[in-house]
Amino acid sequence: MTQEQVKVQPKSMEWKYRLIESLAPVLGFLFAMVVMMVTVQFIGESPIKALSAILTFSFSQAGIAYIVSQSIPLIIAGEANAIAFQAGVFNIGVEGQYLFGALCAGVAGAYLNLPTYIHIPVVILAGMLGGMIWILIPALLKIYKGVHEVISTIMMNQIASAVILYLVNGPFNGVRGVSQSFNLRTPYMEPTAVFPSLHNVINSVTGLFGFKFPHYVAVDLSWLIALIVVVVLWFLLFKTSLGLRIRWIGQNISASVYAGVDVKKTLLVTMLISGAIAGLVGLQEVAYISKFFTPNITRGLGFTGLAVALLARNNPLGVIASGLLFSFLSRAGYGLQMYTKVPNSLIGIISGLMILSVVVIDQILRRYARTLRRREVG
Amino acid sequence: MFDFWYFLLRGLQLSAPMAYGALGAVYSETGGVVNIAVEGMMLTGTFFFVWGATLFKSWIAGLLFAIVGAVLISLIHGLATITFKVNHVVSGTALNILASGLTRFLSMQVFGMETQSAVNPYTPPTFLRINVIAYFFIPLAIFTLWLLNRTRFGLRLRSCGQNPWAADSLGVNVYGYKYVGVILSGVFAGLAAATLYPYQWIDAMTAGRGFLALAAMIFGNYNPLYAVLAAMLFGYAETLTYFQSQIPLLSGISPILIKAFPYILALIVLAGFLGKTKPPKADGVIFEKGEG
Repeated sequence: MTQEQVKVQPKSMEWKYRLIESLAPVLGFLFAMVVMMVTVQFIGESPIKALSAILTFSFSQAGIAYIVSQSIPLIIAGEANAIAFQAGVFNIGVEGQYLFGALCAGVAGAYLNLPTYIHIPVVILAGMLGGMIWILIPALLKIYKGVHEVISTIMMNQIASAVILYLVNGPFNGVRGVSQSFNLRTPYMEPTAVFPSLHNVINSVTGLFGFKFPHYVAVDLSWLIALIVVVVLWFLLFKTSLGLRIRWIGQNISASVYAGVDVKKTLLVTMLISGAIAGLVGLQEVAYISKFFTPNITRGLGFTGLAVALLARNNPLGVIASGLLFSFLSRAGYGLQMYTKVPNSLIGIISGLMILSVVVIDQILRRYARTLRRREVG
Repeated sequence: MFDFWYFLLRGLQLSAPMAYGALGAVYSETGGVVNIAVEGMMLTGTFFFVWGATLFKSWIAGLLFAIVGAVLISLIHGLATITFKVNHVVSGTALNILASGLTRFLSMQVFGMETQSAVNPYTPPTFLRINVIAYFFIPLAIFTLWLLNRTRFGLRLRSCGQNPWAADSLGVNVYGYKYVGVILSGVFAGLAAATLYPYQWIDAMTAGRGFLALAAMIFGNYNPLYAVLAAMLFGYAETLTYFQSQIPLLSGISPILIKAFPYILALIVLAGFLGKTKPPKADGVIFEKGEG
């Protein structure tokens, strides 16, 4: 930061240093890809074949459509983590929050009888409310008791797993007589609560570029929700005083206390926002794809969201790119699995390695740019 | 019939993975390195145990493999956080993802199956029906307490977690001590892996126990003995679900709720009885020699 103010010479090479600093994501990605190809060669498969399998499987019409569609929950989960990280809060509980939020949404969709223009907002609000309820206890414990959010949100994740199983087994069981079975679920949602498809709207735009999303890929209201979340979070963080306070707390909590920030209130608001966004993660699956809630809902999105946020450096706009990247990687894994001898799991290794190499290279480049700056200043 | 002695021993065994994981995390965080990667280190350890044991037809080889596997992950964590000064949480999260992929990938290469290994007949011997390795976590917790608070090594490790700049100015090799803390957390994660379920590796078999170990460490206020006791709270609560039908008082309650009970209890305890937990002052802080 301080280096940026030292612009003594008029012909500064500052843009060059900025460029060097911004190369890390590209270099990290390339490094991970090289390691992947070497590994592919090592287990006796042709890297060229693997690469072409990834490219053809990912960048076909269906491939692109799936990547975009499946990035939606990842982006939302990424945003839930990003806003918390911005305030220096490590919300490892997005996992439990989205499970409980999804249950609330499923229940609101199945048990209420409302006209559709009210029912859908109610389902969305139920999801957000569920997420907020699930982060409320950790938030209060952190603020009033100083209990570290990592421990309390992990506890809440465990409790969520049990509670959703209990509730879907008991009061909200949609398949009577079946207990703890594989098909355990809530009743089907009312047609008035199911998310509308946005195929027509989206395709009329992408059609201009000759691209159509196939009907079997989920293009639904959750896309719009994700977009709104991204825009609102970006605006909140960078254009409002609340956002400024959130980022202050994240950067230097004791300085923000001296600056007169009400830390308790800001932390509470930030965590509730994070929980509310987390409550939206499961909505695509519950309110559009399956139309009921089940404890067998896709798990682990909260933890992937953690990685999505970190790779985007908790920038709400960056989360879009990082969510798409993780969605692409998961698609690439299936491509490899299908067309080559390379197991899907290699992508897991590569995802982890990519995050690591991006941050390590980032550190190295920053250091290098700093040395160059110092040399320039003399 | 409710077999109380077996309940006690079984609880010890089920507590062991969390207890060892928590002890390891205490070493790492005492040295100032936040270790979210315990889950990944434990998972890697479980695979390496089965791999080593079946390869050399000996559980001791399995144990050594488990420790080596977990230490390898911890070394990457050390390299990233200490040498390359990457954010500790980012590195830990990345390593958890990496470990999950790595174990499945290796299982495919070694056993030809991606989600489980072959059955491993070379498991640690049992004493009174439970894994012998599970008996050592309480003595090791006491040893750790002594080591951290009564020895020169402990003082220096703590100084790296409290104020690495001061430690550095007094000539302590801060990077070295931090590495030792992180590597020890790998060693303990290996022990945790050997007590989890040495008969077979199954995908994602740690099932969040590494995170519970972290929770136990914070719950125990970064004190090895309290951390182990917190781990035992989780372990015994899990045990209770297996013995529930034999206990008249509990047999009417849904087993699902019993499963959630220890976590609710932990929250209540944290809310009501404990004050603030105090992590080492420079826990998670990036230390750079010659700055600050």
